[in-house]
Amino acid sequence: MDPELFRRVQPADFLQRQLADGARPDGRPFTATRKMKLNTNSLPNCEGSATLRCGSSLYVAGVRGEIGSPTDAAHPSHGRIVVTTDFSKLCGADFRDEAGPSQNLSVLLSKTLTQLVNHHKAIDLSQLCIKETEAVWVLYVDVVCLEYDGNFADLPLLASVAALRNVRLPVVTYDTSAKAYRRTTDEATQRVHFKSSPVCVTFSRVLDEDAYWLADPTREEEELGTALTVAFVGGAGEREVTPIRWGGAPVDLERVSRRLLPTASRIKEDVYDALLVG
Amino acid sequence: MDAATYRPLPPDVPPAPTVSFGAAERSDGRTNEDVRDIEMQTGPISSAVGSAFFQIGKTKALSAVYGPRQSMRQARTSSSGAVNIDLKFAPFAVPSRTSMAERERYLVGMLSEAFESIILVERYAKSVIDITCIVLEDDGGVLSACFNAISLAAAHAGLEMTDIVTATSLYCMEVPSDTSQNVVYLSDLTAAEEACWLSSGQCTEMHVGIATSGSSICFLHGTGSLLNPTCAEQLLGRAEEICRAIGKEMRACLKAAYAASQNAAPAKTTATE
Repeated sequence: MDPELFRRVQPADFLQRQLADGARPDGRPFTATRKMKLNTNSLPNCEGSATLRCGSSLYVAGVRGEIGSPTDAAHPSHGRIVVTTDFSKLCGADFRDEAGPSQNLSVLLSKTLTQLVNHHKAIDLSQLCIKETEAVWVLYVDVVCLEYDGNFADLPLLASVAALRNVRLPVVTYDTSAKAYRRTTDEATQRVHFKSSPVCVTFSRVLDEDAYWLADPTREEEELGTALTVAFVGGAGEREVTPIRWGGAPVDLERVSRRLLPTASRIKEDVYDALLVG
Repeated sequence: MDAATYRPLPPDVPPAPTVSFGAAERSDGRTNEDVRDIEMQTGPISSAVGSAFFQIGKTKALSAVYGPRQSMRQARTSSSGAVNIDLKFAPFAVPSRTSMAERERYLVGMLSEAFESIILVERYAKSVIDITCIVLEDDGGVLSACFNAISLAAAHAGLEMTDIVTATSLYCMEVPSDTSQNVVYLSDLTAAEEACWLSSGQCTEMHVGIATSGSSICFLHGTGSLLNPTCAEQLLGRAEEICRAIGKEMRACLKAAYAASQNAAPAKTTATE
């Protein structure tokens, strides 16, 4: 039978035969990520933006700065960052079920990324203060997926962090007649500094009997398995590692810590950190 | 994050756009009849059956076609197929974080009506074709940009259509003048021009979609009154010129894409008017 036809008709068998031979359908080793390309070209209407290409996936992240009052009573000088991810029909991802209630993966992912990006070990939010207890910057990061080929967690987070690192906030002064802050014509130079960039590394656990863990899964690998993400916040000495499981079959925690964490750390350091800096 | 936030106000108010009868009097140096530079590309989304990117000035629209796919609901209700058009504004397409839902619904309504007659749905019995469009930046002329992006994506997907159809938007306004001629005909407004003239109701709009091989009008949506007997003739005449020119570029783009796919290389064309 034609291999492409076999791949469509019997995807699980096709994948199993490939993996038994030690390679994935696109030829990568199990723990290798795809080549990624990051551009920080400026989007209109945004204070910072980034475009991330990974295989055939394409994400565009734009950061818009707005002014609001601090909402955390314990930290009256802290601003906040709100990440929203959007996987519309355009990108080809089936995160919405036409026949039933819509799945809330977008919402869950948005909340998870927001928590990671606002984490105190990743960022000091007091840098977003304009006037304590009255006005802070609220950065809205909108990540739009234009084409989806697996790995819904790592790539939006990388795009968001890259866009945030690219932000230049304008200088603002309070306009008493308008009762609002107004941009001045001074050059925008205020940047957003991360103590350490939050990144996460996603694996897909495919084929229950043999249980291969594939890093940076493509869409077909993700559909046939269960996704597990390892999130890293904090630099050396205060690193926090959080596993996040996105539904599907149960996983063996011991295997997760023993086998996956070293691989995840390596991918984080060698691939993702290098991408964000370089 | 429920607390209300607002975008900081701009440092000063930008000057209002101007129009007159002279040549090259608009804020970007165009004449009243000039259309902005156009760029188009097929196949930016490789996993879709057909996709296209269309840019006019700074307005950018990206469209993808998925399908045809079987639909039980469609099979039960009708013997022909159906086309679902879905349109979204990217969050950063407009300067402020307002809800675009109403505008999206309005545009989808018009685009659906147009494309139902252009795509030969009776050849896709019991199936549904999904067409999505996302507006990446809105600098005026969104309806025609989306129309052209969808048309190019559908052609790239190989959907059966009556013709290659393209669209443009034209406007006419009365302006104070010393001579007897006081109606100005404008093509392709930017967002600043739209904000200045359209909301006040002084401007008559006409959005026209033309099948480029013949000259049949497949989409026509007007707002406002025709200001004099020759107004319609002027607007439609100019629309045909613009639509044909865009259609020519689309054909060139599709031919280049086809030739490139034979050689397995990416293709793109740029056109200036």
